[in-house]
Amino acid sequence: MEELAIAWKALTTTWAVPAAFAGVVWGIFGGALPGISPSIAMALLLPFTYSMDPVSAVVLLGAVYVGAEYGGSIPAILIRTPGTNSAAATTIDGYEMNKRGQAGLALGISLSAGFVGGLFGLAMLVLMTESLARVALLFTPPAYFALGVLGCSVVAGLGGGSVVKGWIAGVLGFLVATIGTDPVSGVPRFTFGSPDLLGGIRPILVMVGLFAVSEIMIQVREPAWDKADARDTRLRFPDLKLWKRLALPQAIGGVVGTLEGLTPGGGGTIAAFLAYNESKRWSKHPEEYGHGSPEGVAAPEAANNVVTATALIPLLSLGIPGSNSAAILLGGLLIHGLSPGPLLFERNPDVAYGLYGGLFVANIAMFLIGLVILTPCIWLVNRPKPYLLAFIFALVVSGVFSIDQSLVDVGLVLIAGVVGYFMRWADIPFLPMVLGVVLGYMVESNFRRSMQLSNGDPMVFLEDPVSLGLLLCSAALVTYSLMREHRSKKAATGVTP
Amino acid sequence: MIKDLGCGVTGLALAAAVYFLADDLPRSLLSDPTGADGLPKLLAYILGALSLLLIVGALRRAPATGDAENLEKHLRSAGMLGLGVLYLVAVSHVGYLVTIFFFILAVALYAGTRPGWQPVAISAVGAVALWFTFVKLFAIPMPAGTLF
Repeated sequence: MEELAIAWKALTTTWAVPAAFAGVVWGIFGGALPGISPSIAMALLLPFTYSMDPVSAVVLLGAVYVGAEYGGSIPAILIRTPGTNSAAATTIDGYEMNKRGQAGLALGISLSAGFVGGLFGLAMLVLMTESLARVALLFTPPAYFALGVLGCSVVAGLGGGSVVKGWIAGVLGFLVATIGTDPVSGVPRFTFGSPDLLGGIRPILVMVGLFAVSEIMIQVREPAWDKADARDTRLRFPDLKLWKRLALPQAIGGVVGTLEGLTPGGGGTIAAFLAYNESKRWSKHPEEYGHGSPEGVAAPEAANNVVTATALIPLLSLGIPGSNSAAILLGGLLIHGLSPGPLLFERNPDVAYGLYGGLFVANIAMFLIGLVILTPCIWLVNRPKPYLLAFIFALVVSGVFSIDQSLVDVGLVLIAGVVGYFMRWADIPFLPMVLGVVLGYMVESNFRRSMQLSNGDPMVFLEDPVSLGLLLCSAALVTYSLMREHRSKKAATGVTP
Repeated sequence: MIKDLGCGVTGLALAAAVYFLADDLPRSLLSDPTGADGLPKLLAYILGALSLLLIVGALRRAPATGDAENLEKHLRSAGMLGLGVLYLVAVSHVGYLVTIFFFILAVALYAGTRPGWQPVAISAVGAVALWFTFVKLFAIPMPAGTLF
């Protein structure tokens, strides 16, 4: 109760509440623009926090994070362009729902799942920071490697029709991740002498190219779609029956998001993919995934919004920024002479508990602002197709340039678009490739680091309890996916005359 | 069948290219036993094996009809990509605001809108809106151009 009183006082005696609303608006706007990541949106506001009181400053930055992670799902659903990395998993079923004329419902599900996920993550942050922080300390290089392998084990379930093509896509993603500087020796790999490639290829470039540019290339050759009045142009929330159906995927998103969030380096992207795959595995309608399943929107959206809160656990309890966004928040704290860690709660309880309260307000603000802006967003994407394609393409080339102010990035996105076009022609799924790009560096660097630490003894992966547990989970997931594939093939053979 | 065959052959070619490129990577004294070429070579092997599986599977199946796609459609898609490449070439010379205006206009016309004052006006408003968002609001230094 004392903590609650401190939070209330912090919120009511400062500009924290307006800061939370302003931060969410800025975050949603930034997150919805491809190329403006949550951390960039936060970093742009960092200079403005100098003159603010500490509570309002950290609440502003935290609210931007909340808004941006949610904002990424809006273009993912409406124009097949993930605004942030973690929205990639939402693209598949969200855009399929949009194509079926259910854009309003898809956005309603993403908003409500994001809201529920955000509050669940906040509850985890408030109630379990101390105990969960200990888990973060258990993560060693072998455990990180195993975490990456666990993420890769999802590939088998994301392959769509063909397991072989799913794995080919996964391998392609890993190959893209090898481009850049070798994580151990520093040797440039596949950079062809270009300094722009030394830092590797950002996953967002691959995602925007695969999803958005290939879609533009496909759409331009198809006839124009129906008039706007034939489509779902208003924001709609799920009815009670659908809510019941979405409860399980949201719960899965909550659990996965909590675990991934407190793992430094885990992040919303892996959480979203794992939640998507797990919800498909537990669903009564797995056949709908990839074809516009509401559960396929709810699970990843819940997961990546949980991460916005749980990613702060290592930061606030241990002083470890587990993501770029957490690092910016750390910067916001340091600007005001505050050191995150256990002492923050003793020395500056107003800031710590004020941040908790501010995040609560930010989640409510996210929901309210979503109610206001989403219907106009749907209206916008129901404009005449030529203009829509033109603006999406213009947004893509502008947003991508803004990441590193590099035209090479724009070229890479166009190349990724061609690859995506070819993959669609050949019926190769995108998601395993995206997962490979996201996880490739993490898997390779931690594998090699572990081998160096153990003098080349691979038993290090089995001796570390966290690593062993995660590897066993991966093995179970792959076995289950292969068995399910085998069973469904057998069943299909049985019913085919 | 043609799709799987094409995909398999492309995969094999890519696997071979990756292997040879990885083999050419310089050795570093700082390198570990796995080396910078370790993972790429492993991936090349896996990609090669998966591609072979795809080719064998495609050859074992009866030739399917309807795999041949309309070349005209592919060319239309390529044209859209070409506009993206044109933007890429022009923006560093002409500058962001002017290029993005012509880019929006060109894509809209290419995608089927009728020429007239309306697409010009919409493109102008869109270009200014994007310029304001990225340059003024987010303070991103978009290409300034060298010609003007």
